[in-house]
Amino acid sequence: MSRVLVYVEHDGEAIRKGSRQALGVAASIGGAQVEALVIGKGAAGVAAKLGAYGVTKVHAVEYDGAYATGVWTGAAQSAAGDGDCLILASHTSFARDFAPRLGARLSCPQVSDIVELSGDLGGIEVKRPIFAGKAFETLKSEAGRLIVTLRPNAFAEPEAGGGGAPEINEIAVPEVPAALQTTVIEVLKPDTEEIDLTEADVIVSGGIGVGGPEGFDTLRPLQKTLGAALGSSRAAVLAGWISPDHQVGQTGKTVSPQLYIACGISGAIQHRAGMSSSKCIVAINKDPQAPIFEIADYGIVADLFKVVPAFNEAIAKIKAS
Amino acid sequence: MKIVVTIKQTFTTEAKIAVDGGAISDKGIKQIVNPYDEFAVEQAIKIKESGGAEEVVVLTIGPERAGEALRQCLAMGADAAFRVWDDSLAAPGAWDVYATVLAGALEKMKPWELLLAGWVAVDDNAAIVVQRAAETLGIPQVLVVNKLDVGDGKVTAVREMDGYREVVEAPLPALVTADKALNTPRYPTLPNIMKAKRKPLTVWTLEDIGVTAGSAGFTRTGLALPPAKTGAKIVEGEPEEAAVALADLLHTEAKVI
Ligand SMILES: Cc1cc2nc3c(=O)[nH]c(=O)nc-3n(C[C@H](O)[C@H](O)[C@H](O)COP(=O)(O)OP(=O)(O)OC[C@H]3O[C@@H](n4cnc5c(N)ncnc54)[C@H](O)[C@@H]3O)c2cc1C
Ligand SMILES: Nc1ncnc2c1ncn2[C@@H]1O[C@H](COP(=O)(O)O)[C@@H](O)[C@H]1O
Repeated sequence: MSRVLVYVEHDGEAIRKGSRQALGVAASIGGAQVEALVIGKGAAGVAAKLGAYGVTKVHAVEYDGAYATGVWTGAAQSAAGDGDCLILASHTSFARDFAPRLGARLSCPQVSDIVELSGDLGGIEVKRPIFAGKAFETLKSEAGRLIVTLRPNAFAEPEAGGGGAPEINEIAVPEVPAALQTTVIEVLKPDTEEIDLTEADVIVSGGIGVGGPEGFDTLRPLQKTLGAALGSSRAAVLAGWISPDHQVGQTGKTVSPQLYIACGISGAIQHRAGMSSSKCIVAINKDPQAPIFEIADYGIVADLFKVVPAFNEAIAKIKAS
Repeated sequence: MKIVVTIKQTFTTEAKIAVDGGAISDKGIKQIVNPYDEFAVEQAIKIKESGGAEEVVVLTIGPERAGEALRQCLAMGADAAFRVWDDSLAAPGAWDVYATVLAGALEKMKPWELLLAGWVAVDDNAAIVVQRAAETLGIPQVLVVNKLDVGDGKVTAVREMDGYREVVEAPLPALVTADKALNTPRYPTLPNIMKAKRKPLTVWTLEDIGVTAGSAGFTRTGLALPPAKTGAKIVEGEPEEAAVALADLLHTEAKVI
């Protein structure tokens, strides 16, 4: 029987969406024994919830501090052990940080940001976007030990339910040599509790067409009604209308929501690179020739300041009914 | 202090991708320095200009044409360049091999105190290679950095996490990878482009750096362009009416609301 080890990210209580998706992928691999790695404050509590996802064994590290590369790499190395093991994680900032180092320690290959997975240990095939989604490659590995990170939102969330309490293997916080120690001096939280773009189901996004920083205020009510995250083009960021955190595209965030609403965005290739894998794309643009319409599913050719408020009202009505 | 910057030559971000004979075609495509690596090069030169370093060296693994990317870095202000190549490295899916080669070259280039790189290569979208090499080299890392101070034997950096930022310290030698808000890369001036032609560019084989490449972790079994979209369904009418109709379509037809 092959082992699949899922790195489970959490906030002390809830399991992060991308990790739930990774647990779903693990459960879909036939004949696999699913194990999990949980690190941080509240690890034990989170570990207890994992039986419902088919996890039979949890490696838990109760740890009070901020994210630290050495701690996470060391913990993952202990959890992986010596034998064959497929290690899955959502492609988050934590996993992007420790997974490559884990690969070096375990001397095993890694592939990142995949959108499809098939096969099983010893013969796995994955599909992933390259050239910013302008092409997709399929890669195969026969390695018995392998690390795979999954693009958030590219996989369905499994239904939780059933499953007994998993066996818990407590791992002590790994020692990190001084030369490898990174220290977090300060955590800078954003002013507002915005929804993270990469995990959002719906994104309302604005570009130069919103006309100025105030233009984003026209999008905010719609964002609220939809419970959406707020995105933007790079041009709007460079104009200083909105912070770089919101930028979607080749040099911004890569997103795959269910619904992406592009308002006043022309759809330059670098913007499309970050959002073309969205399930449903809506474009609102006054220029019928705007390239965004080539990849949009629905479009309105009109002034966004006329469309967006009416659209918001109509959606609020649908939501209320 | 010596700073090494790893760079990769990639397609310009405007490039239209075509598949030819089971591989991505590079015909007629302009190649550039991976944009995130360019931020790293700029940062290294800035540190040197402010007196924080004596030497900036750039390193790439790539075929002969990658020499152009190195020349661009030299024209920006780097002092010397190194290129490693072996034809066996042309296969895709070999991030593990690239990390081994990079670590081998960086070992040979010692001593250096700071390793700068881009956080990801925009072509293969891996975010694996240089981080993996850092583990082999036994140095700490601060990834996806938008602000960097170097001094007193350490780096202090603002790193991007999902939805927040952190100020992080790490002892030197260390790896720092660049995000887009770190700086604005300079355009090389004509005199500097001329000067760059005389700066040293060393080419190494795998034998020179004492590395055997080994086989890649993955083999590519398929390559495809994304399915073409048929174009948007344009909702006609006065803007306000179209808005209502669109909301309805998203609810009943697309079922995303
Ligand atoms: C290396 C590199 C990396 C890049 N990375 C990114 C990236 O990550 N993300 C990104 O977005 N871009 C990126 N770009 C920039 C990209 O090339 C475009 O310049 C940018 O996406 C354009 O932004 P925009 O669509 O907001 O602006 P514009 O192209 O100016 O488009 C504005 C659109 O708004 C429409 N409009 C104007 N007024 C209204 C109105 N009242 N109602 C409705 N529509 C209106 C116009 O018709 C037009 O189509 C990058 C470029 C380079 C060179
Ligand atoms: N062929 C290469 N030569 C030099 N550096 C590279 C190479 N490939 C990747 N890197 C470095 O590693 C970083 C991450 O690349 P990747 O893991 O391919 O996304 C890049 O930004 C480069 O700095």
